[in-house]
Amino acid sequence: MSAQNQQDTGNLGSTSNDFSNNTGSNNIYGSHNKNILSGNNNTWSNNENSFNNSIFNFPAETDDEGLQVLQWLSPLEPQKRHHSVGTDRLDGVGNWVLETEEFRKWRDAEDGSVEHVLFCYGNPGVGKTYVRYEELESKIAPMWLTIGK
Amino acid sequence: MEKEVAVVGLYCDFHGREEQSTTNMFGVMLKQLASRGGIPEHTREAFKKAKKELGGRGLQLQGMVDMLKKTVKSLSRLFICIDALDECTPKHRRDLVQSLREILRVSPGTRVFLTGRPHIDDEIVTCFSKTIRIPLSPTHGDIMSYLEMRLDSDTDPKAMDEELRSEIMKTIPQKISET
Repeated sequence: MSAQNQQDTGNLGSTSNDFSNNTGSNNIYGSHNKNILSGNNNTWSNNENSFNNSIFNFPAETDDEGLQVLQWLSPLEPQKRHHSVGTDRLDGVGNWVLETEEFRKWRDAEDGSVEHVLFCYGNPGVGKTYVRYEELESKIAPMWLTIGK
Repeated sequence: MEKEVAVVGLYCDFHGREEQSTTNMFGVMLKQLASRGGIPEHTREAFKKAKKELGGRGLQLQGMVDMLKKTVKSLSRLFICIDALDECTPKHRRDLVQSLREILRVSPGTRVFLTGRPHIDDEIVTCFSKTIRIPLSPTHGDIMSYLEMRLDSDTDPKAMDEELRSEIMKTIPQKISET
């Protein structure tokens, strides 16, 4: 890991791996790696085959061919990085982004008035990786699962 | 049948630059979708075909993009999140952005979330002219809670006294706001 990159992942992350003392009701980053969305609402668990585990905890496929297909699709394993970001993350950091007009517009606009691309930019160490994590797992998805149906 | 919402995501990293080809990135999105909702029949078929005809080799980028296009049809929303876009090679980045554009063209329910350093801003805006952009910097509250957490987890708490603590809590946020 380059020094610069280390700074990028380190500045707003915690050095502790145990958040159990900090756990608020919305904290989905418990050290025990429970269902990441169950603390938020129950929408996901109503959904039969899908959200018992983090989207990054694959594979759910168990048959041989299924495993081969997954392996064939890609050798990348972002779940490793995802897990370390999750445990290093300080709860609440960057949540302000989710309240911005820009974020909502991106999430909600249907009419093509805006591009469906949101770009969060900043210099190394401002916490880009950690903002995204929060959105990915706790904000966007349950919201859309409820509204989007 | 109700359509689902799905989130896929990946992290770019300087250290995995070669492995992180655009093809592999799209492959991992498909892998995440398949692990979550089951492997679509068209993907299984493509695998069998590749096994027979290509000796099991992976698909080219266009093959992956086409499979993703098919897969998104069964979703009401797909969120694609890619962290640290500046860390992949310029070529992979260009391919990635162009392929994402292709997905967005056929799938109005797809949302793309990107993070990166400011120097790639031009590239993003060139490709997605109406991109919504948010400049990030930690808020005062973010900084304070981070500092508190770090001070509280000090392995040698005896080395700290109230005076030093309050000086740290004052000086560091001050320095950050000056930059």
